[in-house]
Amino acid sequence: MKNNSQSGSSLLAVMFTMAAVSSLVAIMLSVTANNTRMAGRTVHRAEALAYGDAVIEQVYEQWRQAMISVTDATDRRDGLTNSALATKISAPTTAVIAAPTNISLVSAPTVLAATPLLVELTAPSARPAAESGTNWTQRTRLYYVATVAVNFPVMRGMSTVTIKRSFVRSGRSIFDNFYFGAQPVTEFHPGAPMYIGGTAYIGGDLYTAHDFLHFQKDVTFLGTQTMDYRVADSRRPGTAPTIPTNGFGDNWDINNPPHRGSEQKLLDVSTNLMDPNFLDDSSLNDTDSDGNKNNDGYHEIIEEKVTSGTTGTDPLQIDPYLNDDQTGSERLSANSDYRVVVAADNSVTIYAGTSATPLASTSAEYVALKAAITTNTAIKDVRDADYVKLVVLDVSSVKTSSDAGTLKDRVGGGDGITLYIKDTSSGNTGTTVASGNQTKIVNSSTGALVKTVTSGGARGVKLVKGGVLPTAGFTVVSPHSVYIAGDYNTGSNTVQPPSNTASSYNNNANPSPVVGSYVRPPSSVVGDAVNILSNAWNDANSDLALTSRVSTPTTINTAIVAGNVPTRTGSGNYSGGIENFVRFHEKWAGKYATIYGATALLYDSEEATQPWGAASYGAPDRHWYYDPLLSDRNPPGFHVARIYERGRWVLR
Amino acid sequence: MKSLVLPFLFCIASAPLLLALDLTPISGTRELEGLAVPVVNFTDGAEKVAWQPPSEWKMSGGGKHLTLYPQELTQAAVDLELVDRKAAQPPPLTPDFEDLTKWVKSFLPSDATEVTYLEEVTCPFSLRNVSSRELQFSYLSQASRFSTSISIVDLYPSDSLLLLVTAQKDDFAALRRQAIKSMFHWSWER
Repeated sequence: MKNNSQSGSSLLAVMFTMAAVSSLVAIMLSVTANNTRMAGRTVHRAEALAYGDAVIEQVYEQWRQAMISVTDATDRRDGLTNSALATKISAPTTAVIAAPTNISLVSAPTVLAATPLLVELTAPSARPAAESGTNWTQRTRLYYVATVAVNFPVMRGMSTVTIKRSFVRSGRSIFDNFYFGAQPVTEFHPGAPMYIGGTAYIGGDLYTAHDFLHFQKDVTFLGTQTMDYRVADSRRPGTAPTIPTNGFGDNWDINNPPHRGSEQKLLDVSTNLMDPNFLDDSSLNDTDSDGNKNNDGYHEIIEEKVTSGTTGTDPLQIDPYLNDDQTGSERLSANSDYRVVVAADNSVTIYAGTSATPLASTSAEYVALKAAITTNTAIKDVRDADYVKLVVLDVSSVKTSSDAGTLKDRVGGGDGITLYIKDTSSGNTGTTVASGNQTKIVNSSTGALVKTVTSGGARGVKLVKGGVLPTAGFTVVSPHSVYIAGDYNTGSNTVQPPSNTASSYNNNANPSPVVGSYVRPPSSVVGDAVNILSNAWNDANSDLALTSRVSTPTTINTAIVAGNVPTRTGSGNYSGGIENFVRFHEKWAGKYATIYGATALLYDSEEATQPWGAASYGAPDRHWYYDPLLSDRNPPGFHVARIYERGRWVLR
Repeated sequence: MKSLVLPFLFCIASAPLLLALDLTPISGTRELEGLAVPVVNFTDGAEKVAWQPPSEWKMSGGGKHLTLYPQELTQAAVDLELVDRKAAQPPPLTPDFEDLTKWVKSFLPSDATEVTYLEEVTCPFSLRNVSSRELQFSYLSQASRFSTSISIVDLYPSDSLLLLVTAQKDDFAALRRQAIKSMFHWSWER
């Protein structure tokens, strides 16, 4: 039997236990309630962030549409003002994005002009601060900062999260790389040393198999990389690649071998608007398959728009306000300041700008250009297997007229002089004078007649005395083959640049490609095929054996856009690779062929279609470098592709 | 004695030059940036001719006469023929073309009738810097209208090389173009 003292102790123990348990339960309830509140706050905040991000996406699209559709030249060049932009930006309706329960925008989203360091500029009239490092308005990056503030519930009332994100408009072009290739297959198999001192963008599969090749900068491809010949190449199987240690010996930087990269969309025209026959690997099917003669691959940029017969829409007319001067075609014929048209009878008609009315033959512009042109001479092109009838352009004469203001920059808003040269008798199969095919080879030095010949229909443009270009910049475009004869854009027609005279020129050497302090104007040469003739070239020798066509070192400082003839299945068939992106016709025997510029292989050749295996030349020592001047300014006639991007978002 | 030795040595030294082109085709290759490009070789004295005719053409003959048959065409042929230089020269183009017609008939099928002179083409190609001269004709044979062209290159002091292209009228222009283009790919090597 228990006594009273024992009963009291038990009661105390029970009470103590109950108090302890109660306290524990209370603590647990408190912690749970706090956790519930915190979890709820976190969920609400996450919902608010997601909502804010979605709103910013909508605002980005509003901003992009506003920037694209601007028609005022100043706004296009320098970007919209804050006040102008404010009328274009609004909160999305609930039908577009419904806000979660209890979550809402604090105020309408804003997009403000900013500096390159993303400091917001609040004045209503403010535009983005200019980025330093470029002198060219089409390339300058323009920065804006978008802001969205979102309310969300917390335990006692509401809280706010602010989301900021940068919007950037920039300009890129095909000349951002040394090599830009749009074709499905790209091969580099030089038979002599070849140094590529610029980034290379391969828009398909990459094949390399030779230790002669030295990539000195970043190389990206979209498809696959194979250190061998492609299957269609007769060397595979059978000829082992000579590319030891997987190229890590000296083909490329051990820390930066060719690697898969992202797609570069450097032409605005979309590939899905093009006839696929002209975008695939084969050139054998390069015939119109959709009834639209205006979408036959990127070769269209060197063609005039077809306006007669059944044509279809022109995908190269992509944006009526693409350029600062509100012209909007990627056809170089449409962007040319002068179009020179040579007829079968060798008469010359010249159109200024986009005018359909020819210049009067007494006008100063006509007289100046006509004086720079010689018609009806020819060279023998062994690879093309024809006497190519030429329009010879004396570039020094064009420079004189351009610098004096006689020739004017009529299209492009101050981008320099662009000449489009076309011979309407191209492809004629006639054999008479009337068909335009009877022509003559003359001695380039003396002008003496060497022989009268009959062309099979091949036409070309030969650029001579191109050492010094028009100061404003100079582009020559032709739908035919273009032959660059001698040093180009080096600063002199008589004095050799160090790149020609260097006695030893390895991968680390970088002798100047210009004479003295000559500043290279932006320039490009664009054709169905582009050929390089050395300083020693004479048309009279073109009809002689290779041993009579011996080159001397030559430097070409220009961007080059051209086509090639892709590898076909068959013995000895090979495209010639990118090493023959420019075509050679002389016995170079290791002499230097230096290019400072950029190269873009955008299409199959449609006139100069004979395969590389028919060529007659000895390989040069190729030293090809990217000209960084091109990253600041496009050659005349070319637009940039406007790129709209949004940066990372930040929270406040 | 000494006076006889020098002419003798000269004859020995120049003997290869006096040997004519032999149109017997020999398969070979030429090297272009490390790639062996298939060619057809002919011997020409001490030298070797490399030629790149279309790979789908079948060849027949040799010596002084080689015939090539384009596989995609019927009743079409391309002939290379080495003939005495004097016999190769066409007569002057008189208004009635009578002599010219007689001359060309020696290169045409025996049943050729209604032979018509079409035109002369000035140097559509050259070999070793020697210009060619092309004459085009039309004629009727086996109830079909044919065209033929004869290009003459006075390549050697005693012989001329003839390129004859024959095809039915509708096929002629393309075949002629192909044949003439191939002549741009002749090169001589020692």
